[in-house]
Amino acid sequence: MPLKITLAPEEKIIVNGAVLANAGHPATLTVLNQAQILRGKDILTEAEATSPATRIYFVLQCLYLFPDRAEDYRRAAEGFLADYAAAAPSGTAIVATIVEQLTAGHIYQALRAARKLLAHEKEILAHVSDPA
Amino acid sequence: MADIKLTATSRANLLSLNQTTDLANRTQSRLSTGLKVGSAIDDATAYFASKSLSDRSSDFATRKGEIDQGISSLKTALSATESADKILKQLKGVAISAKTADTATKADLTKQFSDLLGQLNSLLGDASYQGTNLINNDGDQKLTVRFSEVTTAELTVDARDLRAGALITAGGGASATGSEILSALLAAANSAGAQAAGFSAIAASRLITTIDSITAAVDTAVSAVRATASNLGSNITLLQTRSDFSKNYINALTEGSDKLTLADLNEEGANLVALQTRQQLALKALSFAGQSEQSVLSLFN
Repeated sequence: MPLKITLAPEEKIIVNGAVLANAGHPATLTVLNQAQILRGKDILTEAEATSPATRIYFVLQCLYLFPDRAEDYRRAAEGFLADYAAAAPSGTAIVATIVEQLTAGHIYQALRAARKLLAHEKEILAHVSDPA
Repeated sequence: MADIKLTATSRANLLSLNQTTDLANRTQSRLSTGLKVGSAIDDATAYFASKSLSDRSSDFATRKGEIDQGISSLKTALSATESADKILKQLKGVAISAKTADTATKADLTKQFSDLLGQLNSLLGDASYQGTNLINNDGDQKLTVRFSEVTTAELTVDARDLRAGALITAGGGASATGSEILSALLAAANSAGAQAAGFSAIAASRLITTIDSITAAVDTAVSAVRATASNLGSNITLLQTRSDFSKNYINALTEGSDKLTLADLNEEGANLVALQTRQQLALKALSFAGQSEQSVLSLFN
């Protein structure tokens, strides 16, 4: 099942660890086999991973992009997920989905679910008058 | 273990880790239930207050179910009365056409008249809902709908008898068959006493008055059916109102119960902020990604 990706000029993408940037006009690529692909706009740098949910997203992203150290990232992800669920029980359902996908080995789906957690955290932090 | 000395820093770290574990354990049980207060141990007052609200809500939900069943039961009876009304109109038509019919047709109309009465009775017999028939009755059936667990508020709808023999009281009793009723009608209207042969047996001189008295009897039956329909209709409206009230009340109870126990967003917000700080301070390495991974990700800055 080929995957069609359209890249705007200057847009970056990572494919199996190789970072590619579109140097010219808008381009359309077709990826013909399974690969670890993530668009630049979906990538979180370590400096941005400052809150409970962003940390979860960050380690899941690393788990997806860098399978060599999967064990460490998976352990870190589990710790952060447990922390999050403990702090904000209303996010339990999303956390459960992520854990379920991880257990099934669907890292990309887990990462997709973690985006919902980012939104969830944003909504909850909006209730705190003085966001730290 | 007194010979092991802990520095103040590691003591503080241990303490914070212990607290984190406590928090995690406490929320483990919240996770399984999705509720902030999951058992009486968490917060006894809130737990029992919430439980009594949700119990009452589920009691009401059961009652609402019964009310809705009652509505269905009454609607069944109501739609049967509408069909009965139609059959009676047909009866009247048959009787009126007998005024001008020839002998052969009269015999035919006689059969139609008895058949229609039979149809009316079998239609009413089919109008039962969950074993209760409110319009075909020997007098002992009734529908009772209770509105709540606490009060004795209830609605009782007594069954009415709309069978042809009960509506047309000329003779033969409530459970009379169509031909018996027709005979009784003809006997009452036709003093000559020739009733067995039906319309064709009525003497020409008495034909019009006889038919008129038959249609009058049918008219009386129609009014009785309509009175029943209107009584059923107003009871349906009443039950509908009760059902709506129950629905709103159940929502209010559920909401109240949830407010007491569901996780509160302000508290969760505070928890997340605290967690953020704790994750930065706790013994977890802040840098997860190795050197090579970091350099890859830094390309996306």
